[in-house]
This record gives sequence, structure tokens and C-alpha cells, in this order.
Amino acid sequence: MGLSLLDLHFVLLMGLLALARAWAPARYTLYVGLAGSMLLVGLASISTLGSIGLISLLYLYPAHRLWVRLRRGGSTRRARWFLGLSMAGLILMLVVFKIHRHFEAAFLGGLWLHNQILTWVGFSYFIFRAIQFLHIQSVTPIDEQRPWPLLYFMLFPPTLTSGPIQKFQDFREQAASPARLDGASVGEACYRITRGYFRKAVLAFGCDAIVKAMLSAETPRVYSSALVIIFLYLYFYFDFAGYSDVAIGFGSLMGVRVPENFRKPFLATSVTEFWRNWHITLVDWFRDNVYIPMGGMRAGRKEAAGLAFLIMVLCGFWHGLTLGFLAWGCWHGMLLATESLTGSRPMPPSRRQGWFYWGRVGWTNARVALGTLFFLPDPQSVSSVLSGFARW
Amino acid sequence: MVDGGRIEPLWGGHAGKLLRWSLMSAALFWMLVYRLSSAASAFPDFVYVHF
Repeated sequence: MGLSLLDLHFVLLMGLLALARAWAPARYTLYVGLAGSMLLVGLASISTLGSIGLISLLYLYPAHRLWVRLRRGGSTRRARWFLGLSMAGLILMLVVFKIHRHFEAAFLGGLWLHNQILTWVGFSYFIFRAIQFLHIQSVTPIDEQRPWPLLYFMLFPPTLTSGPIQKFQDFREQAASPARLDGASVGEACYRITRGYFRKAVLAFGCDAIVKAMLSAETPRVYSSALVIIFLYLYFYFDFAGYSDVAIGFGSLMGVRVPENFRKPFLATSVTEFWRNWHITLVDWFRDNVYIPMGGMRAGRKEAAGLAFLIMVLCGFWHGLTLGFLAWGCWHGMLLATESLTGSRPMPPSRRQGWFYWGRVGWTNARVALGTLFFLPDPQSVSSVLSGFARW
Repeated sequence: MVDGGRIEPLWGGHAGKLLRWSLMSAALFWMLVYRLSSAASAFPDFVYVHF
């Protein structure tokens, strides 16, 4: 059984887990949630449970305890070095994971490790959560006496595979005293779950069918190329926003408020504003863990533009180690850097009407949608779509 | 439907939500029962699930 939101087993088990968590006595709610999460993840992918569980218990938790000890001992400098090294270790794990996932690399374990890693689910999101957990300690004092809340956070099934990337400090509070389930919250959760599945299984499915039909045209023309770009863009939105809806709905049934990932991104008046409203938790993660530590808040226009470009290239590589994703990262990095250099600002709410506003919205969407072409699996499809714009 | 002396909008209020939920459920039911019952149909390989 694979851990997929479209898997009926997953839906049923999530429902049972939510019921068990709701009926459990308040003092055991964290342990019931953890035990149920371990069971669910283990049934879906035992190697995922093993890898995430072991790294959490044998790497993250000891690193956290050592950090607390170093801080209490007053050696702040050593503690910061230690924290940096711990995070570097996680980044190294992600790089190895990505390399093995995309290439049958014959080093660091060879093919055997490659095959093992391929079966891990949601590993890159786990690394994001893990880095956030280590990094937040330098900002907010965290002192976890036992590893179970951390393990529950890392294995929380609704957000395990693809986020939204929750912050440990937010999760911890809610896991300890989850919101009570009442008629209104169950109704809202069911609505979000239904909307999520509708977006994925009906709308994204429909967009995918249109894209495939247009790509199979023997002689691509302007209209077919434009339709590919528009429906590919919509496909990504419905697919991922649908997934996020399901995660938020199931999270709510588990008594945890999972953060929103999308906030009307199609109404953005600049690419910068678009990225504040599309995959919000990933952008927040890069802001908190890369942009701010690298001095982004104090940077001038040129430095901020360079950082924005670097982050989008990293984001492209995170999607996959391919030239297409690198090109996608460079494209968005260039758009963000240009806006940073020119001081372009999103339109204020009072001016959001009329043809100029809709023109900016259209121009923003057109540039973002063009970037989705790089997600097509082969360069022939990209060149075919682009060549269509030369034929009426 | 009246809410605090104000007529609740059909699409944005509670009734609208129930209506949207019913329509989405019906579409999902149709998709799962009829569309995927043919052997040739399959869901696309959703990219975000497999990160």
C-alpha cells in the first residue's frame, strides 16, 4: 500500500485515527495520536517510518538536548556552531537523498541504498521540518524533556508527504491540548476534505486530460500552445491546493490547525506577491531559514535581488535535479530579482480595480504560467509548445 | 435564509456551502464510480504526492 491521499485505505485509516484521538482521555491524546500515526505510516511504508523515526530519535532529539545543555552552560558560541553543524548534516542527507533519487549513483551505498531511498515518502518535507525545528531553537527557547512530541510532529500523517510545512512550536501546543471536535469543526473539516478531493480528482484530472490532448496535436498552433500553458498552470494549482485542503481537513479532525498554503494567488499583481500566496509555507520556510539568516532583512536592493535569485534556484533544485527545474528556478529568480531591483510593489487594495489592475494580474499570471512549461517531463514537449506560438 | 436580519447570500453563506459540498460530492462520486470503472482510465501521476 502506498501512502497517497488518493488511496482509500489512507482515508479510512485517517478517519479512524481522528476518531480514536477524539475519544481518548485528554492526558493520553498525544500518545494515541503518535501511536496511530506510527501505525498508519508503518502500514503505508515501513522504510519511511524507519528512516524518519530513527533520524528523529537518534539525531534530532539528541542534537536538541545537547543544544539545551550547551546553552545552559553559557557557551553560546559553541552552541551556535553545533546547531549549524547539525543543520548541515540534515542538508547533506537531503542532497544524498535527491542524488540517489534521480541518479543511480554508485557511491554512498550504491544501488541498494538507491532502491531503499526511493521508497521513502515525504523525506524532503521531513528535512524542512527538521531544519526548522533545529533553527527555531536559536530564536525561541524550546526544552523538550521527552522525544515523543517531536516524533509525533515528524510523523503527523496529514502533512507527512507534502506539507504544508508546519512550525514545531505551533504544532507542539496544539498536540498537547488539541481543539475539541464539535459539529461546526467536523463540518468545516469535511468540507475542506471534499473540496480537496474534488480539486484533485475532478479538476486536476480534467486539466491533465486537456494538457495531454493538446500536447498530442500533430501540428501545435497558438491556441493549443496557449491552452497547454493555461491548463498546466491550473493543473498544478488544483493538484497542490487540493492536496493542501485534504491535509488541512484531516489535520483539523486530529485537533491540529494546519497552516494554509494558498491565498488567492491568481489575483497577485506581481510575482513577489504571487509567491506570498502560492505554497506559502515553503516560501515562509525559505524566508525564515535562508533569507533572514543570510542577512536578507538588512540587504540593499542588489543583495536582496541576488538572494531571491539564489533561493529560487535552490527551490528549483529541491523540485528535482534536472535542467528543467534549474531553468524554472532561474526563470522565477530572474523575475523576483528584477522586481527587487526596480522596486516594484504589489498594488494597494484601494487601487485594485479597473483595467490597469486586471492588466497587472494578467501579466503576472502569464509570466508564472510560462514557467510551468519547465515542469513538462521532456524538452521535446517544451519546444513543441513554444513552436506552436509561431503558427496561427 | 435570514441571519441577524440580513438575507444570507445563496452562494457564500451556510446554504451555499452545503450546496457546493453536495455538488462536489456528486462530481467526486461520478468520477470514482463511473469514470474510473473503465480499465483505461487512471489518475494522473500527481507530482506533489511523491516528494
